[in-house]
Amino acid sequence: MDLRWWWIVQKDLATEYRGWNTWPRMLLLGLLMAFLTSYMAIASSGDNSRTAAGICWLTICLAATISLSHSMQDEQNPCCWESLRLYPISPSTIYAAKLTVNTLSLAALQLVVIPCFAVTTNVTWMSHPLLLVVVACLGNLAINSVGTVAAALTVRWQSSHGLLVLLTLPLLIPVILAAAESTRLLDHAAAHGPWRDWLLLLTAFAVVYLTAGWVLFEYLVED
Amino acid sequence: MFAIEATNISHRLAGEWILQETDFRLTANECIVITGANGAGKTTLLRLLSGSMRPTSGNVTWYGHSDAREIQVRRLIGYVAHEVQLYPQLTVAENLLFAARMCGIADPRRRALQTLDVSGLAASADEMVAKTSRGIRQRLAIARATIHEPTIVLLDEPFTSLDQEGCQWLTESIRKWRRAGRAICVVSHDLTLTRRLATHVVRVNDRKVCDVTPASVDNFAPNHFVADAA
Repeated sequence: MDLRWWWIVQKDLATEYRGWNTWPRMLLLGLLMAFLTSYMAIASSGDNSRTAAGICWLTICLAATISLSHSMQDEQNPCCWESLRLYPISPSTIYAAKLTVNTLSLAALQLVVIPCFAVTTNVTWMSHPLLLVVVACLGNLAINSVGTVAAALTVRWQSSHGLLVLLTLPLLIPVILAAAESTRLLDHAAAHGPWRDWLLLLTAFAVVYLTAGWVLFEYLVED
Repeated sequence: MFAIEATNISHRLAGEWILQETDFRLTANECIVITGANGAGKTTLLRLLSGSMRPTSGNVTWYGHSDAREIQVRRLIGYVAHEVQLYPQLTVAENLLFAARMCGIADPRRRALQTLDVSGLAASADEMVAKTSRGIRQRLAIARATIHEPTIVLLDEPFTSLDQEGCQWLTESIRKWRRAGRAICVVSHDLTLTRRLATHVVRVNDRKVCDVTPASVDNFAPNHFVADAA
């Protein structure tokens, strides 16, 4: 891996900073979902933590598809995707750069949305900040590892965003479940027990998707 | 050794043959102009020669290398596509700097500044590409694709949108590249420029390639294949 990875990241961040196309949309979706969930939580009298964690991670996943789709469409619309692939750089450099940009976008969203969900639904995730960061990072990595490949695969199609959602959501169901349960069970975090099992499952998916994305990206993005 | 050698290449897109059993050869110091009717397959041929697409069948080599994904092959090729392939949210200078960095040039900032000067883009350096004219974008597209001084230069309709000064700059650049021993292939409809620049003119006709010299540009012989001529 060389420095060219960083120049692609820098270019994408500069483009996003000047256009503000992605983050406002992701943020709007996240805040809207947090508000709706808090409304449901007030209406129901039972334990909200499972619903809140599930909807929180589903929201993060859907918001991720916005940034994933944009990161590739910003290359495809001015037809730069072809020129980027023709530069003397390895496809894995492009994958790493796109993955980094998408991970940063989602991390920025998570920083706002997860505390919002925790506060509005009155759950206690925030009392374990370090463990919450670990779960958030693993979930983020798993979502973007598979999402970056899927976005590159679907970008040439007309309704690429719809296709991206259709392609990624089935693959991300185990990630959403594992991340939601790991978040919900933070109060019971221990070296043994269900929290550890869910966290291990989340880690396994993050590693598998990252490895698969790294290996397959080159072949899947060829014309 | 040929700069580019395409042997018996065919390409199929959405169930339709765009190019069939075509041979093509380009050597150093040569400037081949590809011409032909709209939709004849000129752009497809150039994309196959650039390595951005793989032929459905047949084989393309670049100085003997057959895999376009090889880093050393990509260093050899400068490809100006029909679309300008620039980032509209970046400035003219930033687009060049990005290209120089992607090509692994040792001092990318200096090369970008040099290229700005040489291509007459210095006055527009800090303008956002989205706000520049089509002519400036076309100049920038050519400068971006050739910033790494490739030995094979492939240009798809490069004179489109260029003003008289721009056309002169590009004509001079192509001559300079030829003198430097580079292999050049241009897709163009402009027969005047073709006569001035081309060492060979290739016409794509009926999904195949026929070879004609510049002198007989107005008298294309249809179905006269490279293989037959050789």
